[in-house]
Amino acid sequence: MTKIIDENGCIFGKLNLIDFFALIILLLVIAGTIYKFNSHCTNINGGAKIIEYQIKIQDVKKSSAKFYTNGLKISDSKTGNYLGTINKVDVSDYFDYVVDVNGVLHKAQKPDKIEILLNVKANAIETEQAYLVGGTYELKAGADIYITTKYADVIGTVEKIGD
Amino acid sequence: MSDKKFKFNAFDAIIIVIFVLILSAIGIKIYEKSSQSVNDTHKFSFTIEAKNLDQNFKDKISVGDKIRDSVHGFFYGHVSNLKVKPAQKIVENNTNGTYILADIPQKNDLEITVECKADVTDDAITIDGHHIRIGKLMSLKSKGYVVYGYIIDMEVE
Repeated sequence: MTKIIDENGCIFGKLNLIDFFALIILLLVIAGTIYKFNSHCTNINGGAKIIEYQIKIQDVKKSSAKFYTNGLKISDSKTGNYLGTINKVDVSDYFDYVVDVNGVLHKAQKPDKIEILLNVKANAIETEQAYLVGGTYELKAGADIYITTKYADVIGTVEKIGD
Repeated sequence: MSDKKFKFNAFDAIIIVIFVLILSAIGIKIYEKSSQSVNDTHKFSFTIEAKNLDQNFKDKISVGDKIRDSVHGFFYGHVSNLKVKPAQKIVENNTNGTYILADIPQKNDLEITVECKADVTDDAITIDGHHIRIGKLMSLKSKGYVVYGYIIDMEVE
């Protein structure tokens, strides 16, 4: 009976063990990559489309408002991937809740603090499970988003996607 | 002594090709990053707000002081302006459920403006390769002091 591994360390006398394990690892990596992209890419609109989404940045100093302008590009601060371009900026006073001695919550304006609402336009792929911008970034309303622009590095919240 | 000869087979060739492709991809990525850089060096200034400092601390800082990064040691520029304000803190007024700006006795907030040269591209402003952005916590030192504060303003000329 033919030995599976011969005296030279070759499987069935043909393929050496190290090559065999390297091939297995390579096949697993390829399979994993295909699986990951397939699970995101059941593309329901046949290609990328332009979407608009909103990012809310809260409790920042008033003086930072001038650094958010139309036309500014936004990137994911962790990966550097492009996430869209600002096409509208709304600035308003920031309010938070303060409790009084009777346990009643009051909505109170925080001095020198503002809230910034950014409207962002981006190319996205819409799948059954997510909106993907910048390749693999999943946009989810309610999720924190870590963004950088030329002038700022900030954490916001995705408020709304689409109309 | 073994007279086993090394045999180069098809699988070794595939592995080498993949290895070369990975190295090329890394090389391209590094090249793209470095070629994006340094289009322009501009005169630049940034202002940090150092909060809640002892009243006497302001006397240590003078316009013209040379400023370095206290963590990495590289040179930024010179102090071009110093603004001293009474230290204030946002606190809750629980009597009527509002926020107020309360003065902190015997403390100052300092706004320190540093004038320097920065590399400005479409994507970022950097000094000695370090990004400068609003809200970034800076740790600055000069001959006799170190000061911490967030960038609250900046200007490119």
